[in-house]
Amino acid sequence: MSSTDSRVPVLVVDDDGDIRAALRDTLELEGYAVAEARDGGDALRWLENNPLPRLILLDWNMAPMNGPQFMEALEKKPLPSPVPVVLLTADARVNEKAKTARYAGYLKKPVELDPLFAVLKQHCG
Amino acid sequence: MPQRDPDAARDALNVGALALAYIVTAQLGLSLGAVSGFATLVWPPAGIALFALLRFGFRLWPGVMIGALVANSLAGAAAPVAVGIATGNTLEAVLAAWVLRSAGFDLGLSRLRDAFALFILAALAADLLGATIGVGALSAGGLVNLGTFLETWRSWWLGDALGTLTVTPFLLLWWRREAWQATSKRISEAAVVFAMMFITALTVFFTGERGGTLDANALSWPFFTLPMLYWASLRFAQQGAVTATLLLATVSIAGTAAGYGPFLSDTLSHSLTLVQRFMAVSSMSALVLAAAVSERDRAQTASNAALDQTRFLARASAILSSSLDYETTLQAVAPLVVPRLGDNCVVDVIAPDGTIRRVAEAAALPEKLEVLRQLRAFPPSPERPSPVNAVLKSGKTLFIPQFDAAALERLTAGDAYNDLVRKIGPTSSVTVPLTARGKVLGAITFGMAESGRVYEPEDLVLAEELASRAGVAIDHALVFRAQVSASAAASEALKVREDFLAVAGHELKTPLTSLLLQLQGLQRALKKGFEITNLGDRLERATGAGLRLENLINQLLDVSRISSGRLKLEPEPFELEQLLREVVDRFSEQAQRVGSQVSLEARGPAAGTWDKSRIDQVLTNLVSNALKYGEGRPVEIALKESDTEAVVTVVDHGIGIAEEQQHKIFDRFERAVGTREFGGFGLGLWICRQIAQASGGRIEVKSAPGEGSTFTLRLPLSSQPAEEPHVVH
Repeated sequence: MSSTDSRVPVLVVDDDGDIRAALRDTLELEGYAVAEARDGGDALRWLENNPLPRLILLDWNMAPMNGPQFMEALEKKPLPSPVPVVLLTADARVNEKAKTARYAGYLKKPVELDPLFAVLKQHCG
Repeated sequence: MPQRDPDAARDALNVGALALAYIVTAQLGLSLGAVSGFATLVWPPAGIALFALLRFGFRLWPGVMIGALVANSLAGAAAPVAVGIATGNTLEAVLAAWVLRSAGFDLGLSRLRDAFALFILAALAADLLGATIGVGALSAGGLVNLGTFLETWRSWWLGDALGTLTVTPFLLLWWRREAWQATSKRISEAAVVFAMMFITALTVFFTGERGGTLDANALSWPFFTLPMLYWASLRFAQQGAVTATLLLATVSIAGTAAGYGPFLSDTLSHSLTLVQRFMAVSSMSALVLAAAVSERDRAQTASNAALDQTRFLARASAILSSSLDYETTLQAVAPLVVPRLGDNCVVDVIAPDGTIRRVAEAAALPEKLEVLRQLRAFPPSPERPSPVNAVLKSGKTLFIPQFDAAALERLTAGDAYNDLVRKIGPTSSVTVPLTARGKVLGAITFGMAESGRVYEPEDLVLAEELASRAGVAIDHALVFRAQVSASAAASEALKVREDFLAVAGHELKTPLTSLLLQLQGLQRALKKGFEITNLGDRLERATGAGLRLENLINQLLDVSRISSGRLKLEPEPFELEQLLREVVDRFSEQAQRVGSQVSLEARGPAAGTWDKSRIDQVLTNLVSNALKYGEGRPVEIALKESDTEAVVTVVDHGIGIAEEQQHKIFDRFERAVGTREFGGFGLGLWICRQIAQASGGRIEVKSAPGEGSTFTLRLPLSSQPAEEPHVVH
């Protein structure tokens, strides 16, 4: 499901508060609603208690629950309908893994805005 | 009354026995027809006298003198003549014994040179002297005239020489009784050869017409005895040769004296002369043959032994080079040396920490092996001197030919170590150093005990040879281990660096990401003409990210400076309390954010001279850590001041640090907890400690997991930091 409803948020999962804030500032100005989670576990809790987001921006390297662990948990207990997950990572080696797993796409840190909005446009319209 | 000397008594007895043997055998010779009454062709006493002096020493010479005096007096010699003859007989025996001893004569006649020495020095030379003196005495006494002088002299000489060549070797060889191994096969063979010898001799020397004359045809008969003589010499060595010779001499003389045999001539003395010539050649041939055979046997034995040693060393080398685990290979070699090089064996090596460690032991008897194993509880130490200590110190072989049994017994009873040593019961030991490239690496000790065997020089050579091979093997193993551990350390260092670079890359990219997101987002908004409502917040966040980045970069620069010794402190006088309050104030907002109550109890002012910005850095780091790892619980900060130092404590009640991690947190590139949970390089505490030390102080931690941590910074109040000596103009 992809929603064009601007009230349906993009879920930003990153353990660095500054990055979450920067993404919120940038996305909100473009009209996207933004929800935040501090790590994979926080994101899973958010997903249980809220309607599905239109997209998940997922950091790879987080603690305590990192990106891949979050994806595993999602696979075991799937969402009512699929939500595209875009991986955010500073690690260049993740490319290959990102392709094999069920990611809608990946973005390298530091994040360039053009590719970011391209991905958002592709999945959220 | 003078004390009786047991040695003198025994000597007197020996002298008497010798004199008696001399007289009895002289009567035998004299009964066989003597030329001019005294010059007998059969004179066993000459052989007995030489044997006695060779075997028991020159001090028995009076026995010869007395025997000769009595024998000749009994034969009817006037006193002066008897004295003259006896002097000749005595001188002859003493001279023969002396020249043989000087020539290094072996009483076992085991070498060719011994056979030749007996023949040339004793039978030819010394006996010639004796004959000359004896016949001289006879002629002085008017018992020989010019016409009979030569014959008398020749008979005398020949009789003595034959005694020397047949009786002396026989007595020497059988007295020693170094008997050949008496297997039943050998005994049967000996019985056959001597029986055949006896029958052949009887046949040759007791046939023919009694009292007949020299028969040219019969002259070939004596040769039939030679095969048996040579057989005995070849198969039974010296003992066979002398026995067969004596047997042949006895039968041939008896037969001829009885008037039979091939050597029968017109007079008895001429007949006996012929017999003795035959016997001289026969006995000489037999002795030479036996000596040659034993020389060959010895060479064979030596070559077998050499081959055996080579094989032994080859086996040992194969084991030693089979593995680089030298303790295992030494344990495999130790049993190989028992019993060849001893009844037991122990191997000690010098461990890398300099202590002496027993790595292997072996013993012929299982119960002694158990005792040796128990000795492991008593490693060699300076307080307990042992051959091993001495050898490890000197690097030279230590050979103890004979342990003092009494000293061994005197060892303190009840001492567990001494009791064990007594149980082993060493009689002799050899300790050889294990060396390689001039360095002593350990020692092998070989010991004799229950077998009572003794070490031969070649055993020592073999032991040293084995030790040198073992030394090289240990050296190779040590060099290899050193290389392995060096390369492991190198790869560990490489891994630490790689891990650090991965962490550093991630840590630097995180604030960079938020900084660039903010700046690019603002740019895009400007371009699109969006109204930016929270510009102030966003700029603040961008600046914060930039400052984080700066802080990280500064840490990297600090590490680089400290590592290359370029950390420069700029001390200035200030009050620590004042600085501490500033730092704590700076964290009030963050403390609120994480929910920690921060309390400060300062009993300052703690005025001192330090690098203010560096101390600021240390305090900032400690407070920041307390909030970061404090799990939102209260943080207590205190400052105390003594006469000599200022002490700052920062206490949190957070996750704490495990005991084994506590020393690591001050290391470079180390951190007690996982990287991602708490950002940063994990360099902060290392830098703090470097700064504290450069300022003449120190930093410590006390912590328990789950209970929190207490960091203590101590700074000297008076002394100047070591790095910045003040130059006096």
